[in-house]
Amino acid sequence: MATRLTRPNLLSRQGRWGTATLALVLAALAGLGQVLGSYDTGLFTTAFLFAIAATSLDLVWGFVGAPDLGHAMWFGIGALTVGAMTAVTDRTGLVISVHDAPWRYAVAVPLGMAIAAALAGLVAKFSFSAKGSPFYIAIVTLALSTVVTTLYSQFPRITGGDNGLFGFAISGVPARTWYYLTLAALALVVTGALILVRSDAGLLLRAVRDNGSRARYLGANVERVKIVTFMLGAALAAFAGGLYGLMAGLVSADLFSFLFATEMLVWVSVGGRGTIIGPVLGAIGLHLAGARLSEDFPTQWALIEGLLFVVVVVFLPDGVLPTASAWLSRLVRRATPIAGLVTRSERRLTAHTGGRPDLPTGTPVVTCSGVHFGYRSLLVLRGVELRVERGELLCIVGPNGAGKTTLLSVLADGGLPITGEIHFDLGSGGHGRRAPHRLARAGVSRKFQAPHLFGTLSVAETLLLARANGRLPSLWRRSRSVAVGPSVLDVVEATGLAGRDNDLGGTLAHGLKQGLELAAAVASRPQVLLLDEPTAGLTTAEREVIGSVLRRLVGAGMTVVLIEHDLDFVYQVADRVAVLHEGRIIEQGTPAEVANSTVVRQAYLGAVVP
Amino acid sequence: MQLALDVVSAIGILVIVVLGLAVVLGVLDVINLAHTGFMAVGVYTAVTATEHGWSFWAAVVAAMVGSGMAGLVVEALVVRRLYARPLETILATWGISLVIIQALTLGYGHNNQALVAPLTGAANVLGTPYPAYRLVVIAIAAALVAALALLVRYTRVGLTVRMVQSNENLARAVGIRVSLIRATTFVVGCAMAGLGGALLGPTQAINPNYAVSLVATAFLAVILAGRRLSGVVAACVILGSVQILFGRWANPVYSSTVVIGIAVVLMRIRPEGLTWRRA
Amino acid sequence: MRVEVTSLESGYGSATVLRGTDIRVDDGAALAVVGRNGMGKTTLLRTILGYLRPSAGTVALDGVDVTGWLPERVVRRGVGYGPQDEAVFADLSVADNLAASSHRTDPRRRAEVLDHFPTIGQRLRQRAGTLSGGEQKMLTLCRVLLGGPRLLILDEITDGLQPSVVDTVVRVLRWERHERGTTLLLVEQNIDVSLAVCDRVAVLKRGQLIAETPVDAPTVRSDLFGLLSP
Repeated sequence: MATRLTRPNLLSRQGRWGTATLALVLAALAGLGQVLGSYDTGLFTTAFLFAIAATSLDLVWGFVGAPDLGHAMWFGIGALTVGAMTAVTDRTGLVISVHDAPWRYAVAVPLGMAIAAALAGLVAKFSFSAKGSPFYIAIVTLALSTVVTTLYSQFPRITGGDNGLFGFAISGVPARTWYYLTLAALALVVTGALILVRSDAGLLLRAVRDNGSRARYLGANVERVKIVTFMLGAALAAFAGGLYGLMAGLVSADLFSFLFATEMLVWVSVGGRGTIIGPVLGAIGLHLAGARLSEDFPTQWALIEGLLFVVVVVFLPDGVLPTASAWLSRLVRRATPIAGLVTRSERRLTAHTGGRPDLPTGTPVVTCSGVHFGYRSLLVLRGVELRVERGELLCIVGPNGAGKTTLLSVLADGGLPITGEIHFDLGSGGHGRRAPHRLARAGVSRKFQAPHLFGTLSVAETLLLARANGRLPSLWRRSRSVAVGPSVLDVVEATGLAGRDNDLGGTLAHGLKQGLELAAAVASRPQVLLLDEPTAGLTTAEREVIGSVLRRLVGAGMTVVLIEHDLDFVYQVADRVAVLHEGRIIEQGTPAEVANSTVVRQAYLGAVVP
Repeated sequence: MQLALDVVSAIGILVIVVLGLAVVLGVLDVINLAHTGFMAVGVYTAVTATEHGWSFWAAVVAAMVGSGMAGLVVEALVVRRLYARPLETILATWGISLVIIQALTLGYGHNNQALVAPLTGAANVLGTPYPAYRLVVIAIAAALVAALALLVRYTRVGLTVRMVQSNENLARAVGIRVSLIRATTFVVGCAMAGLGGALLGPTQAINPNYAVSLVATAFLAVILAGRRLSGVVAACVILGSVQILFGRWANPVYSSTVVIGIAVVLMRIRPEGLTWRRA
Repeated sequence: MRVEVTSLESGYGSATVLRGTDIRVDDGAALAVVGRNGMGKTTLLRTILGYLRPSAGTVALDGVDVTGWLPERVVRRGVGYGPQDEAVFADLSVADNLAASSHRTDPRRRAEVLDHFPTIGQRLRQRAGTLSGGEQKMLTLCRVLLGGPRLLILDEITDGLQPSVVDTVVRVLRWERHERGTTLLLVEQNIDVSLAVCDRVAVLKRGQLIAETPVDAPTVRSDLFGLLSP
């Protein structure tokens, strides 16, 4: 399988060109508003509202990676709230009159947003869980939209039944005013979204999308990020729906349907998922094209639409906009050899100046007693007894299959069920186990055996997030430099990451990924570092450097627990060694003591010592 | 007894519809939203065949061939390029189902077609008369499940498919022609859709939107099922039972809602699907 | 199986990792490729096998040009490949994994191979995904050997293995070479293993072969350490 990587192109990385394009388009649309006829004005107005909906879907799908197959529902709720509050219906749902109360219109839009956000919050809370598949949200939203569309006709008093509600638009507002109002709303929403996704907090969104489980160990409350973003997306879509209700005075089951939601998905994917600007242009373009074409060829339009979807999805997978911008960036690069015009370096790592917080001094810092853990019928840990003293470097060694990685997992993830006890003393009283992100925030950092990183985040960006360790990064500022401690820079140098500040996680070679993993674990300045084979894939010279880095960390007060096979490395760095064999610690002590233990030799090296 | 037979019949129908979808999802990780479209292709092929004097069962075979060939074309042109991207596959297959529906409309018109069952009349099951044809459908569903189970577990072909399912890159490294396996699986899935479409023809309204009402339930059933056959059966049993029992004692409009609700909740409780894993 | 790689250039997207690499392994010989991280060792293997399309250069096995062939086609010529990551069928049992490379293995051969790695023989019904990292490497090696390949390509096969198992691996690989005439192409970080198993060691630096030395050269160890330092 050839790996296919998205080359950082102008739009998604640099953003200057994208913003320029957008500004140009908005200005053009503003000018266009002066010359359009009344039918076209209405068409464009609807298109702008759909573009807002597309933006909201891009936030949810493109940035956090949650495919909302029922996104139309939120739009529908927005429109329905307006209709329900302002139209007066008889028992069959037929609209008899409209309330003459402007306050109803004013309240309906925020109310719709609130209802949508609340429902979305429930759906999200239900669907996003650490153990479930990330696909689950797609199923739930699909199912929910099917249910909602079916139930729509069951409550005609509110919904207008099969025919829906109509005629409740605000009267007396000229079409042109609506045009500029919705255009302004679109500009506002898009600007806000762009600021958000380009800020430091935007990195958090992308990290959650790229590798949610890893983000957990960097302190991110992944579920909360997804839920909040999902609710925000729903609220924005309801905002657009509410405006639609105000303007057009129409709502029916169609607005909630899977068909409409699919159209939204198409706008976003055709325009370019994860770019904000792409979906906006996609929604406007496709809606306008669709309206035109279905007039001239009503029966064939659906066929053409289907073919169009398929062709675009297959041949322009990034969407029209990113593909066009990739061409453009190639063109520009060829035409202007001036370095710096298309600059890719945005974030640099710098050294942190400043003091360190005082660490607590109690010991031991981690205790395990009688820990048993297994998968189904396979018991891996069979009564582990372990003490980790503060400020020491403890190596856990043992034969393959003894349970070393499992032990680390059980320490770092409070969600795994064990019998026995594990206790942490991290200052502010002791703790038991807790969920990965909370433990990370409390000061325990983990590096995995096989590197799991964020494909679309650069080295510097990954370290920015790691350093934040669960604290929410700025929602608007976009840091140019990422200050990290000297030990992080040590690791970066030693593992060959120097100068690769802006290389994307997805493009790094195996050994470099290992390096980044280690750097990220250290970047949060934890009290306890759990490392699973930190030297895997490194050459001897590099191992020595890592060894000295770890010794320096310990010297500064950090506690390091690491799993290793390289016994030379272990003797070089360890204060104490614990030998794990068949799920139990069979020997603990200084490296010399353990090396001379016959028990260990027999189990580990497989040799019977004469 | 009547109720029990209705439940078993509903389960059988669901199994036939879902099996092709499950095979494609389980092996290729592709959610084929055009599945009902391929069912429609199957039933329309069968209708055309019977109009030309073919017997019902011959028409069913024709349906499988027709859908299989359509599947071959779709796989080669579209699905093949989207294997790394499951969500784009959903969109693309949705587009294809729209294309199929419109093409069938242009070819045959909106009006309902008819497919006559090969067996009319009722058979006697433990004292209760029940349409013979439905009993045949139940039997075929059971036979398909059994055949598939044996194939997957005990044959080299089954092992090959499981290897592709588990780790595609490694499957290549052991010499498995992955693109061939994929194409074949997709075609088999579509042929099964055609089979299902034709078999169900006598019991459903046949128009270009054929079986669309079954889409949501089938989709949920297959996700709920997880990646193994045992899960598929379990999911169909649960959802089929709920559908009939609920429809019997409450407003049928809500029965699909309840089915969907239950499927969703079950998936939350057991995210890996209703499969039994050997330790 | 003779391996001839000529002026190979390959990479990911816009990043060129291999820049004109030449590799030669004679039939029955054994070459270890060493180098720092990010220098292209895994890229080299993946390009040879066909997971990556080279932008320039050729790969030939026994004189047949296999450049640009899909991995499954390359492998069918008699190549056994043990990748660095994701080297087992995690959902399948150990027994199924062992059967992967060939349908019919001589039961004596199977017993022979499993004898070297008893842990694997004890866990035939276990799901391969629940094995530890080191055990998975062992399983990979068993699987590959059972396929009876004429060319064995292994990426960091000893990474994560405890010392006694590494010794066994070395023994097994040497046996493969000398008794069965299997050609070996190893990517290894472990200098000792490279020197014990292979007859030549090549150093890859920044996508190019900067040195190749026979194992029996007197200063080979210090030479290699020197070449591998930054």
